[in-house]
Amino acid sequence: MRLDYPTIMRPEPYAFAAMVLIIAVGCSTSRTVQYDSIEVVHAETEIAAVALLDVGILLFDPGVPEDQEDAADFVFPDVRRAEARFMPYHLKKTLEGTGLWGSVWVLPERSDAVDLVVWGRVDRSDGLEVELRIGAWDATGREWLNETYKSRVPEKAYSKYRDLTQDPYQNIYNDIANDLLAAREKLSEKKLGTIRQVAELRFAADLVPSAFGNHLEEDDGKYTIRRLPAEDDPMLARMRAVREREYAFVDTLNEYYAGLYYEMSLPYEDWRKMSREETISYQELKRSARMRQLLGLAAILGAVAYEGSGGSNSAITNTAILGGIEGIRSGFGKSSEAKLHGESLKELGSSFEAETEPLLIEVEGQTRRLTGTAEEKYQEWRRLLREIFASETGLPAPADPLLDQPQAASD
Amino acid sequence: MMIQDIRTKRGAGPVVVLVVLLMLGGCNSSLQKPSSSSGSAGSSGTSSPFPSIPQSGSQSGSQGQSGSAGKTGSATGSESGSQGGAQSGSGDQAGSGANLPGAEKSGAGKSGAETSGTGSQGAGSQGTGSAGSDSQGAGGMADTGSQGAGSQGTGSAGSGSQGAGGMADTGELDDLFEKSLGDFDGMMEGERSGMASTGGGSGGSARQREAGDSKSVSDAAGRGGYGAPAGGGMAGGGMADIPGNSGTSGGASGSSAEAGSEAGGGGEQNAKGEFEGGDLDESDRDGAMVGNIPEDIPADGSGDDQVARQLREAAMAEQDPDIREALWDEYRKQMSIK
Repeated sequence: MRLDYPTIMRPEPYAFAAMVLIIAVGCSTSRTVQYDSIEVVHAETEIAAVALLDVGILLFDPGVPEDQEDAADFVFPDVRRAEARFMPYHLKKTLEGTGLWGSVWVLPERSDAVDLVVWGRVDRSDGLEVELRIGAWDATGREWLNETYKSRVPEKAYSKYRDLTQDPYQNIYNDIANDLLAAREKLSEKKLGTIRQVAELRFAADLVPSAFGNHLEEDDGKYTIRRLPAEDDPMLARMRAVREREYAFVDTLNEYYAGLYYEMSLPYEDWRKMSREETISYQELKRSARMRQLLGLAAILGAVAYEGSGGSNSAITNTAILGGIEGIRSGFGKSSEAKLHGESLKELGSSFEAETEPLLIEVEGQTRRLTGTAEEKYQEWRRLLREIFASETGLPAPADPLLDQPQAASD
Repeated sequence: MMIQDIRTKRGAGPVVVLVVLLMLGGCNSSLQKPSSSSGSAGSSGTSSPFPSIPQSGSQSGSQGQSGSAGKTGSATGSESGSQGGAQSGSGDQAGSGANLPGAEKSGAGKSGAETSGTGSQGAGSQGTGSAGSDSQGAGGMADTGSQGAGSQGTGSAGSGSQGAGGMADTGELDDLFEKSLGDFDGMMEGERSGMASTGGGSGGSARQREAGDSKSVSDAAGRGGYGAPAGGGMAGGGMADIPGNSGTSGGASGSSAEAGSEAGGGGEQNAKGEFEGGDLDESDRDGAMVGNIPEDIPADGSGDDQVARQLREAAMAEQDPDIREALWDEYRKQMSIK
């Protein structure tokens, strides 16, 4: 006896036909990609002098394990290391361009000479998408920012006809600059003044602990002023003279970073542009391959279910199975194409790495030499100022861990 | 300004397909809008968990520096030691040191001079400059100071000054301090002039980059790759085409990647193909640059900003009169020339 299913319960042949059709044409996703354009806020009125904080941007963390030497997951260590120097410098240029800040420097390590320290980590950068983790802390220890910034980069960002002062990742820099400004605007002028005073006293305390060590109080990384030095204190003037040299030093250091920045900017942009195209192709092909394989599998499973539930139309079963096989096959084809784009990405990265490596080595050498020289001088000033303090006050110079450590080590 | 990049694919499947997709956990094509999310500082397994900026930075930072201080101490000493040595050659200074109370106790200006000599030797071998300077100022105490400097390095300077009581006066230390600052200023000046002479630093490198930018722009203009003929319009003031637009028009193949990349690449190829004959050699280009400036455009270009300058260079190098005029129009807009 032939069992007739009610129409509503019978497997719908059109569903399989539609499925096969979809498999035949492949992935059927529709995507709308939105690109935001973030404008940076510029100074429109005169900024109070106290609000013009000096900013130090530390070299970024490349976001790759230190022991990683080869590319993994399209992350190229040398490219990241180059970016970790390039990005802070461009952020410096962005902040300077706003006219809302005092001096802005890129620093190899943290310094007490600045009012605000910004630091970041490169979590992702492939020309298409960029993700940075950015933190900012002022001299009093207050956290201004600690956020992840993401941006998807449109093709027009690489146009040769754009304003070439704008980096393809400009959105993210503008976003950071605007957030720093927003954080600053939450602070009263009095608080901003305190930040500047604390920054100066921290530098002073580090330079001449015997004279300024008791002016600040630190509690869990937060600094408060216990007392201020007299404005006519000659030691304060000496400390300020050293601080000016610190600024001169970081100015010079920044010239070296500028050299790296300008030398790598064109090849870096080219790399990002090509990497963007390859990344899009790679991602889309991978997605398409996965979709085809899944749909192919679904079609085969559907055919089996149809057959198992008493479907009598063998043409539908055969079509679904054949379509499913074809879907899986074409999915593997797309996978192979994606692999080619992946190889292309690796080649691009390796080529750019080879280009940037000598630049990195050069700037590392220059900055280490300069930093070493400055450290020697700094130690000399510390020693002289300690003696001057002892001479002026008649008090024995207190122990200075920084100066006395070498002796202890030699003992 | 929101710009949409639409990558359109073939039609949506029926509901059945969507159900299958959902069941199988298919597409994960959600794209994140540029946004910032706050949260605890997460580590991504990288070498330095974020944030690792020590808030008690002066302490730990100092520790780091002091490590190198030990290493650099002898170098400092040798430099300052040479100062001491130079000064020890002047008997006047040694004599003036002998006028100090401490010097009277320990004896003679002569011995001061001798110890200065000793001090300079000690400093020359391994001692510290400040120890050497103590020895001059303190006269008789210099023996201790210089020996200490010779044998123990930096630490002896401190003990020398304590032991002396009437150690070098503030004025002399101030002089040394000022001199050291001056030395540093000279050093920085030397660095900068060295950079300037080699064309390094921000100035030289920026010029280098600008030259590179200009070249790439004029190259693109020379081969007709301006985007307008290939992409169908100078949307957004000469910006490149949005890939989605190209992708939509050319989307005949399987995936958006294919569509996008084909369209993008095709644009360039078309541009190169169509304007291949537009390449100029340098002499042609130089010659063309002279006569290609419209009357309403200032000839010297001294007021050009960066964009205007690049537009000007591209226009001057352009052979196709239509494109050239379009470039000059852009230039006029940029410079607000009516």
